[in-house]
Amino acid sequence: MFLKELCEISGASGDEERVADFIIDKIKPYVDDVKVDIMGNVVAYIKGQSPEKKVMIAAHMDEVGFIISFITDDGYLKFKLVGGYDERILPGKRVIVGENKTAGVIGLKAIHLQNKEERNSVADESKLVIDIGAKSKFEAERFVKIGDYATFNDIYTEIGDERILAKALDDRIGCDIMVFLAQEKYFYDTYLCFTVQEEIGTRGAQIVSERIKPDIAVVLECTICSDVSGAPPNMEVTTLGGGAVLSILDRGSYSDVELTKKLYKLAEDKNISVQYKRTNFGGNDAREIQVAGNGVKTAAVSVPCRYLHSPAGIVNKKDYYSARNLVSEFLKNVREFI
Amino acid sequence: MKKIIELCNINAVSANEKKLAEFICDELREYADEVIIDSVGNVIVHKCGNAPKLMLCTGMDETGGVVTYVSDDNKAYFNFVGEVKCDSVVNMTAEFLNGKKGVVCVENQKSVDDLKSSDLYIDMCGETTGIAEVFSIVSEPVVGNSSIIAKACGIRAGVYTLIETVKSFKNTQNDIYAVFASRSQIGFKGVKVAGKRIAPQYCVCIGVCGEENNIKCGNGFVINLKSGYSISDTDLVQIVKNVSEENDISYTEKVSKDGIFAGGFVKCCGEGVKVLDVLIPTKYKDSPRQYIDLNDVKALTDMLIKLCESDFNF
Repeated sequence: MFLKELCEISGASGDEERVADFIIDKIKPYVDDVKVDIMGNVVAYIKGQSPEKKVMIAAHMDEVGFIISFITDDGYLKFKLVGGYDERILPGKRVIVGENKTAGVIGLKAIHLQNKEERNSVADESKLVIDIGAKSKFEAERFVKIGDYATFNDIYTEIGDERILAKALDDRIGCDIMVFLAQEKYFYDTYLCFTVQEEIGTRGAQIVSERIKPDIAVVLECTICSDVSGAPPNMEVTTLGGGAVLSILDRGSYSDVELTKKLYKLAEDKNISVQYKRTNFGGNDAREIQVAGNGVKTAAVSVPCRYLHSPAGIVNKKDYYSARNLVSEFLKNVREFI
Repeated sequence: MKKIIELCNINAVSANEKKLAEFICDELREYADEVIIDSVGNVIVHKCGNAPKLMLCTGMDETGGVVTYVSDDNKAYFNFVGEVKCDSVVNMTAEFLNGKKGVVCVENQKSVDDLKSSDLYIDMCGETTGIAEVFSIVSEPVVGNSSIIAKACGIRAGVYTLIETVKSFKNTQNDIYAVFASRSQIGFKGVKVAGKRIAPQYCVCIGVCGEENNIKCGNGFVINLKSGYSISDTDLVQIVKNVSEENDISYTEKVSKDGIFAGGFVKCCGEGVKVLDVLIPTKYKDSPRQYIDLNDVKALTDMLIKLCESDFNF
């Protein structure tokens, strides 16, 4: 498992190169070919016994982040969000900026200086700055430049008996599972697609799936888990520790009904914990993959994650292994699915 | 009329259209050179010709729901599939694909004015249902002299129109594809896939609209000139107008900044497609029971038959 290393790499949408390099280094000894396309998608090809069908597994490399848009005269960095956030979580969070890995913190006007309206509202990106400790624009420009990307800067930590606390679990956890899957051989030609720019509109998946035109696809994702105090059970979305998650539908796609039911049965037959996603919140690369070429039978297998798109998501290792085992079994038995 | 009601009574929620797709295939197999169901559930019917490709399409699926959680006291909570107004389904019957039925109820006696889907559940009346089971909101059709009120009536009238068109047109050189598209209620996914596969030069998409201003049930089919997501091709509009006027077929024209119709999802396929949206006017469009006037359905069918027989080399 390379999850610690993968999560600690900075790789906001559009800036996935370091994640790609790490992944290529890990999978190259095992796969028959690996290419990086113009957008930055990494596509690993595993030659099967039969070229009659093409199987695609996808996970996205990018994480939510920030892009530096302006440097103030007094050395603060203004920024724009890359991807979707609950902006209430931003103030006070540590970030890492640019190629120089400059450390900083998201700052907000001190509470005693805020008027009543400011105190009662959520500070959006226009009111926030990144403070990298520079006293002036001149000093700040020695470390960062406009256009640099930033991400949260939190360390990977194992907590409790079986849980992981980290940034970027969405979707480095899917990438890590695919690195594992790259070490096996399968019956049909298999394409492991590490996609870019999922968080800003599933753009990498659109390009790569139109090029491959697979017959069947499974998206590996990290999905919302709201099993926190006060949430009604039907709105929890998923349960931490409840197993691999199969999506029925979300804002972008409706998983292939037959494929999803077969995956659920496969999990039961193999004693793999599995659960259905209980709401239609969210979306993933399946949105684009299912309409690629002449249409693709597509399903999404996810790992539930509390506090998604924050510096500190929590996943359960058991769910990670459930998702990994389920997709691994799918690939080993792929002839029963096409 | 009997055939439209038969089509309305088939439950075919988006992404779960298999039964309806097979019904359409059975209807049209003897009339076409090729009939297939593709990877996303579209029915594609091909009548070969030498002239440019003309694609006719209609959505076939309906809105509904899918069970996502069953509580210990056997309340089946669900998500809607497609856009459904919560207040329109309260106390209605939910019929599952496996034939089981339940009633949509409101949690904690909430007011219907500010309902969310999470406030609703299905009382299975002592029966059980599994997670991921799909249901339609059903009701008994009401039939008048020349009108019907029934579940999914607008979109199934479109299906009927296209079936009758394929069965009826003759003497054409046009290379015609009839597409009964899946997943139209969840982002027109099916028609997008079919458009890419066929890459037609021309496409006429059958849709449904509500009554507004000059658009009334009984005044003929509707030519959609512009909506939020598409502008109909002026050449195709003129052809359809000419065909209609030459054959004394009633139509009205619609210009709106709102409304999303299938044409917008086909126009960028292949090297670009001349598209036109034609619509069946309905009352109660976003409810589980819609009203259609059969004269409008006949007008659209007659126009499409004549259109298929027209020379498209303009």
